[in-house]
Amino acid sequence: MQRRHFLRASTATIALPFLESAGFRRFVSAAPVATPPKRMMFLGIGFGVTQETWFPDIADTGPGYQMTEGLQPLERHRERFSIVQNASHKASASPHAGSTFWLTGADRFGSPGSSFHNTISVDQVAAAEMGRETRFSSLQLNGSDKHLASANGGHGQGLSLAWDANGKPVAGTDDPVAVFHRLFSPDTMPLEKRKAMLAREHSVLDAILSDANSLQKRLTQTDVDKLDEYFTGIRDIEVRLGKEESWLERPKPQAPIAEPQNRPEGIDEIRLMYDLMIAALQTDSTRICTYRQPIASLLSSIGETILPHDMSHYAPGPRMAASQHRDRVQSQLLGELFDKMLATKEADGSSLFDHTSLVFGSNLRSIHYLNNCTTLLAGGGAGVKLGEHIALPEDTALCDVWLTLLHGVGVKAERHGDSTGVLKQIQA
Amino acid sequence: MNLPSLRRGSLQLTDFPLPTFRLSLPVSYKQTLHSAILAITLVPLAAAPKATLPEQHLDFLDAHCLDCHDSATKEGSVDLETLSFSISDIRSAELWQEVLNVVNSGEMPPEKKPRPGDEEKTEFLADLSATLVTAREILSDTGGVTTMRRLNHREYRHTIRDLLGVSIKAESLPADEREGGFDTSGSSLYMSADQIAEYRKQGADALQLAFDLSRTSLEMRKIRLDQEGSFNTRQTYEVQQQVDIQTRFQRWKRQIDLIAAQPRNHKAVAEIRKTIKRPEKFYVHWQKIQGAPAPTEFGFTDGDDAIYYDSQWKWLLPRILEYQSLPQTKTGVYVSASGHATQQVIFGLPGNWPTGDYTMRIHAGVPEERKLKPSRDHLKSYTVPAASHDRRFLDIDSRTGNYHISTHHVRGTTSATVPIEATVSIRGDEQLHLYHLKERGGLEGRSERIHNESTRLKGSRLQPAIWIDYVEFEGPLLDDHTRGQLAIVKGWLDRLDAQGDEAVRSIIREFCDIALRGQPVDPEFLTKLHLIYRDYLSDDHTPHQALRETLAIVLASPRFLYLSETGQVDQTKPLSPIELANRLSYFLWSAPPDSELLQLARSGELAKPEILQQQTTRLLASPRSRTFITAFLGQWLHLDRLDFFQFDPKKHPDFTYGMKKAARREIYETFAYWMNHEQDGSLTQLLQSDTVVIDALLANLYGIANVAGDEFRPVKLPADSPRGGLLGMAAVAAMGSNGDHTSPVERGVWVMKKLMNDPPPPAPPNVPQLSRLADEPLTTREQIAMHQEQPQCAQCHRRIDPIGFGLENFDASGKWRTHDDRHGVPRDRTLIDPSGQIHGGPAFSDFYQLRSHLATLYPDAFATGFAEHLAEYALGRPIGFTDDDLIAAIIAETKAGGYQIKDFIHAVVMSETFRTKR
Repeated sequence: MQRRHFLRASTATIALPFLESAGFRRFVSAAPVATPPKRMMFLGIGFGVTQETWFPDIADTGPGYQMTEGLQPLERHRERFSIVQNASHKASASPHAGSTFWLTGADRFGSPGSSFHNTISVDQVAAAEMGRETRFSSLQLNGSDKHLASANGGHGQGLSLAWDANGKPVAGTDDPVAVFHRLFSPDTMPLEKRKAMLAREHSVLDAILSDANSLQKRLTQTDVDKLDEYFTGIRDIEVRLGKEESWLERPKPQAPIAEPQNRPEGIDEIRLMYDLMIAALQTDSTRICTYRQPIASLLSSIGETILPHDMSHYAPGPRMAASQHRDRVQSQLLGELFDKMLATKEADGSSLFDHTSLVFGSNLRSIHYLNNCTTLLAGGGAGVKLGEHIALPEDTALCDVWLTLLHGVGVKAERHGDSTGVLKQIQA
Repeated sequence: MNLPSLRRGSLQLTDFPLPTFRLSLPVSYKQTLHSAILAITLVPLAAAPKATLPEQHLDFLDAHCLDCHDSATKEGSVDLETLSFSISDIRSAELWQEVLNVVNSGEMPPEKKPRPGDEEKTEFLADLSATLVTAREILSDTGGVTTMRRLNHREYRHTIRDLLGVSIKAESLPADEREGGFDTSGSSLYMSADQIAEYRKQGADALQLAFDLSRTSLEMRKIRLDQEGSFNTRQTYEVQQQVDIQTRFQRWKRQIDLIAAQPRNHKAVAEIRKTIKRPEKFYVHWQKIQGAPAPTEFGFTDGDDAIYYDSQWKWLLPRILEYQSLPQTKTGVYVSASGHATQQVIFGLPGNWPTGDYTMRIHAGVPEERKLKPSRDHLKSYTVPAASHDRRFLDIDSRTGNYHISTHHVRGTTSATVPIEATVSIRGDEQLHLYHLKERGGLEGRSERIHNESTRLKGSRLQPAIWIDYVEFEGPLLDDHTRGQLAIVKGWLDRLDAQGDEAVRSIIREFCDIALRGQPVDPEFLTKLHLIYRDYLSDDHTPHQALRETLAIVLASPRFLYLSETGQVDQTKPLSPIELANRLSYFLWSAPPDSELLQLARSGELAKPEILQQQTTRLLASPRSRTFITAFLGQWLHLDRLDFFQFDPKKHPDFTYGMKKAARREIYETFAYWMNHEQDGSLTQLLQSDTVVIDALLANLYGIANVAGDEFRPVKLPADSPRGGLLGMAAVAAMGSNGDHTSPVERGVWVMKKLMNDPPPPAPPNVPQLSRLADEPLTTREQIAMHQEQPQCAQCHRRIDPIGFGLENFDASGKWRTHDDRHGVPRDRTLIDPSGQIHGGPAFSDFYQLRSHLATLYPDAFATGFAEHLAEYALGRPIGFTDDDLIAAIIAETKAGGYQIKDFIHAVVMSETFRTKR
């Protein structure tokens, strides 16, 4: 079905049949799950790590590798994660963008004539399938330092780590209080009112569509194609409304954590966001989480006065010391996250950690290098080898790692980005 | 290589000369290659430009690659034998890029194979990377097609402001991608579901703000604030505190002294005295003295605490007392980076004033010199001079938002103050609006130096730089248009209140009439919106809320968000007058056409060339064209690089936030000055000029005397000045640094890109930092000489680095210097050697010669680059080979008048390309 034709004919009520054809009937009547579901969690750190002190020696591979200074706080979890070296994106060309293409592997010059191009991110590929049975297909969190002009954290363009099926940025939120309420606060509005509200949203889309349709008739083909982005946006909103409607009558789960009272910064923000992600996964509100972690506020919260970009251009001296300090704190926070996930038990007695595939890293390795990206894999969700230092052949596609994780959690994608195939070397 | 090259890239663009091969190739190769290339290159016979690698490199390929990568062997499935030297599609471009990468990185040819000589490799890499740059340009050529563009961030904010009379920040909308292009490029401005939702929300917020403001009294308000009262009270209190602390400390000390004198403590006392370095530390060890009273009994946390307060007393109290002895402390306050008590003064704007811009008027002056009577510290009478010129600048910081607002020159004296005017913006949602006033850089790196200057004046502990009599706030500052728009909004609300539903349809229509910039309004759309209004109303919304939500839908609709133009398939169609009006006003104002322009469009007059020209002149003359200058120049010259690094305040204490702002502004003001100049407004003034456009702050950095006040004005330079033209501007020097030391590479690349219009190929990814040498005691020039070690670096750096070295006399903050430090060697003085040679061009012995070579040899190249970028910004699409005629026409038209800046703008607007849609 041609999207434009569909939209041209669409009215306020056409959204639901479409959604059913896309497999929505299944989740409406979904029975409670017997075995714990698989989950994915992606933690993006923007500017990479201190290469000299974070990466294990490239020759020292396998399970007994020498733990590095930057990873030292994770020593007690040594059996629970692996460091993977030599994976990168072939088309990488943006040395200040550690997150924009991290999960997508796209070539930013991929559409001729345009200075920017992106494709779907791996979390959204997973969410398209794994998100069907949860209230939220995915949860996007951001660190709160994006508003500081000088606080460029090395993440690059985007509204979160996630990019949708059309390569457009997916919104994220940096407000933990709002996230808590979205996940757990019961709707105080009566059902009838909420239904009326959703119905009105359909009329709003319908009005906008009528305007778009009248505009479209006068345009050149290039512009019609451009306007198609807008139509796609409208269709995506329709899909979301449909999902909201199907969850209208089901109450939200009880919150496993207390309501956050404020918006902490830096190290405390990261702890709180980690807790929120655990709570979201544990209650099966969603199965896919991404978090674009803060850097500027992390640095200031640990007493470093340097800005992220200055730090990233480190050379021996105070800049490098700050970078190493940040590495250790990030490892320490990650260790705490593992602890909590291990302590979060599933119905069958296993832990949340056992069913989650966790990725920590960036498209940047260190300084502004785009090869051998920072990659730490953890958790039992995707069935990857844990407790090892794995050196892949040089310039292995990072998208091969993503593809392997997708297959590991049961999403049988044929390819992702510039992937060439599943990596046996990282499978358990 | 020829010099100067007019077009971008230094390779020749061959229309299609058949490659003539040297006969050194084995016959079989020759045949295969020949036929392969023929097969590909013969297809497009039209005279399209080509990116063709010079055929001499067949030898290189033959010698180093084809052993393994020929069609028969295809090692690693790479077949270079059939790969055309003419790059005409993305696939071959990618394969060639791969070749470039592996040769660059040294991966190929493999170690066991014969390696190419350095010179051969350098030439191969230079030509291949240049060819790939051209190929990318060809492959991204739009063929003159402009893609409809969504309002970019800046245009969106201006459009909302124009429509509703309110300013919004729209921070939750994604930033526009503009790396390598302009934020007006339609094909790069995208849309998504999240954005549509966000536009609706932003629209509703802006409407609510306009509703609120339209019903608030916007009468001018004024308030006068004096701070001496509370300031002096606090100081008096501080003195009392200090006296109290000192009394308690003395009592404690006395008691310890008495007990320490007892024989049983003699041994302990002797022990303590052995360990301490400074005698006053003795009391910290009170616990070792039997029977000594605890400091807690005297109100101190511990011994260290007590000692600390004692030292404060010695340091602070004299300063406070001296402050109080200054003249005019009863009528004003002093600020000084050197005095602890007076580093900053806070003034606050009343929290209940409406959102908007306000004038902050500071009545301030520099204290005159003062005579000190003989005192215990200083036996003769002594004169404290007035603060040096360097210290006569005042910083305004927002305490509420914790950011720098502006820096101002203090021209008056304590006896005759001259008011300083600044503009501050407030949002109604902030509770209290507090502003810090301080001596420039006082809390950044300058305080140490100022302190030294101040303490050199024996007998005085502080030399206040600035005296502030009082501060006034006045506003809100609203222009007539804004007041008019708010009045229209108020009219809608009044009608809604009086007539209810009856008024709704006409209100929506009137709103759409303005919001849709002259496009027709579809009656069906109106009907739908009216029904939605009613739906909101029936769902517990007030009429105002319902109207807000309804109008917000218009602000998320495609005809508001896109600058759409009617077109025809495969045809170039003249723009309608309304479309032309929109294109023109978004080009020069980043905002919708005003009523005069719309009226001329509606009457069709705008189609007449003389009217279009008049309107262009009118729009340029309006203060609203400022946004064109900042947006265009900021992107063309990559001024965002100024924010890439923090400046080390210890090393560059003069490059304060205010100085960075002034440096950026110098570029805008200089351009505006020449753009509006009657006769001499040539673009080449940016290459070299005898005039700078600066304010007092920059004059201070540049060492130019007799420039007073905050306004930027033209100043004639002495003949030997390195200033004048972009190369002498602090912003350009600072962009070519990392906030600590200079980066000749960044500077060289910038000059090649922006002034010579000959951009070097992009740096290969993953090049190691030169920081491996960070510990070596080398000068920057010596460090960078490492680029010549490897042919893959040398191929570009032999062109880039010499230019950068020629600019080494400007330090990281743009100050002129003759010496540089070797890295890691403090106070080292190595004479800078700025000499060099423009690659393939003349040699230069110093900066002045380099500048003069650029100014005499490159005006045409500079003008071409400027025209290309200006056209790209105006048309909202990349400029490609299709546009060669357009660019040639602009150059022809502007060259006759000596490249007057305003002629370029007129030439773009009058061009057929600007006035048509394809």
